[in-house]
Amino acid sequence: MAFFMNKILLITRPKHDITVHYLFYWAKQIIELAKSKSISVLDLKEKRANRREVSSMLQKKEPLLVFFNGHGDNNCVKGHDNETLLAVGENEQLLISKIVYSLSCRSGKDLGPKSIQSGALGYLGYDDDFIFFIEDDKISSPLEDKTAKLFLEASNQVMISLIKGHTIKESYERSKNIFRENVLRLATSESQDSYLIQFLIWDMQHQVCLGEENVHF
Amino acid sequence: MAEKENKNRINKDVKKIVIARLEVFPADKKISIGSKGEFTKEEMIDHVEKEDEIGEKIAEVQLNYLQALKDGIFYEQDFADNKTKA
Repeated sequence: MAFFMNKILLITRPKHDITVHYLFYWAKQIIELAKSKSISVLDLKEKRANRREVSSMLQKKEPLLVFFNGHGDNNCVKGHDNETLLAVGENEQLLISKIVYSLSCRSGKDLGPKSIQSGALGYLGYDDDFIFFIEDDKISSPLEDKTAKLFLEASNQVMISLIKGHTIKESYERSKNIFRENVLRLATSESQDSYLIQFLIWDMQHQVCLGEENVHF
Repeated sequence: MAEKENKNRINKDVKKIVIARLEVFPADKKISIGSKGEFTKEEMIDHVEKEDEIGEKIAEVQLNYLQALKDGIFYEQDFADNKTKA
């Protein structure tokens, strides 16, 4: 029963600029998948992606899985209007006993390792900038943006796999496989988009998986 | 905080290569580099010309790729496995 009760996903989805606007919409498929698996979803979107709400939810609801969408830096992840939600030396202990995926720049560099040291079960993220491309005429409908899809489909695979019960290591590998598949598709077709390969490889190479490899949601 | 020194941060020859490669990017797409923002092809070239933080990042990604090619990334087992699956 305790295991079942712990099947809670906390997700942050700020939407205050174009980049996070894309992450906001692409994270919707993760919420839908989680709900279809009877997982409780705590969706802190737009202004609710703030430090006070995140801290409160992490402590009171004790989600096992946490999905940050937003900007970040080596030592932090950010929310609405780039408010720091979690930072090294401030509140990384809030991630104790949690599996975290941070779709943000750089937080896998310092915040990830420090969170694991503090007791997080697993931390997946990126140890450098997460880069993607967007189509000018798709900004109002990000889910129809086939260029962004190459990147965000691959990055979201981490969450899809975790929700399906795979270990953090398997989820990391499955995400990398999607990056590779997209690279190979571009490399072996007559597509004009082969310039994207270098950026897909960048994201793939900078994705990190920290913690006990066999941990799962 | 004093502005970071931005002179000669990108090797002159590297800069030429990076800009030449950026020239073939489509004009109707933008790169998103986290909180640094979104940039068109022309803006990317401008940042590389100025050798600022954004230009340096764009150059770093390209050099990383060229190095990966040199190291035979497409011949690595993981890529070979993916090819097999396809």
